[in-house]
Amino acid sequence: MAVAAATPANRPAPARAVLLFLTLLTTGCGTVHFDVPEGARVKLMEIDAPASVRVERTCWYALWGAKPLGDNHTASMIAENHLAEVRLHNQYSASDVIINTFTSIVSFSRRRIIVEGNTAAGATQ
Amino acid sequence: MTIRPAWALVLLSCTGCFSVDLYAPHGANVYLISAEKPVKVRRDLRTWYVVWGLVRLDNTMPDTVIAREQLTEVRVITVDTVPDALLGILYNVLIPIGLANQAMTIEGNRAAPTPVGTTIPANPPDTPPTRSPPGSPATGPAPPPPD
Repeated sequence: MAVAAATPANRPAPARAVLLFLTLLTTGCGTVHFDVPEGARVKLMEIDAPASVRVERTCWYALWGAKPLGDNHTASMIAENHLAEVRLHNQYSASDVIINTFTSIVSFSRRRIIVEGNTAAGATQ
Repeated sequence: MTIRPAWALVLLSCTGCFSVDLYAPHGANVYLISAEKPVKVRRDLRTWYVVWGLVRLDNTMPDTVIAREQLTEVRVITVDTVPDALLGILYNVLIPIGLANQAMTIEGNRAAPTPVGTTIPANPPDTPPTRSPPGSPATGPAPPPPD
């Protein structure tokens, strides 16, 4: 007895459901706030300005990005490093993609926040 | 082992990388503000990437909006919403062309306007007047300063 190969038209419904589910998993959300501590006066640097400090933080989210599990603001990073001028990046790189592929199955995803800048002593005028 | 095309597309859709960069436009003095500070300007921006996020399509970053709106104080929120997820499904699975997008909200304030009554000198204070006094002979270009 010949068995016909599965085509998109006659693919079993569970396979399509799993495919759609996996697709939804890859579309995780995640909010990042680029801000500074209350009362701080922090200058925004130009793209090519030299920076002496570079700080990176991985921010994790649950429920596919809806619920941040840690601090997703840059204010604390700027305060901890006493930065007077900064340049900020929100990065979703290949390593994040690989990790999220597995962790998003249980709703967790991650993004990276990168802060570059100078302290008050090394700030450019 | 054979990987079906649809599953391969799902894997490809996982490879979307992108970066949102916040920096100041050239020559502008821009300061970051806290999350609590009231703002008067709010703009929503969506930037697009191709090849699953590897290449920026429109290269629209917050500095474009900062320069256009002449903001001197700014804060930015990068956010993914349900419409973004649907766009991701549309352009990476249903129409697998590797188009990705990132939404962001730019909030800030412009510089305070110059108060009414403030006079702005036409020339810097150390610039000599260019008009000749009445009755003086016509003069040509100013002679070069002595060495």
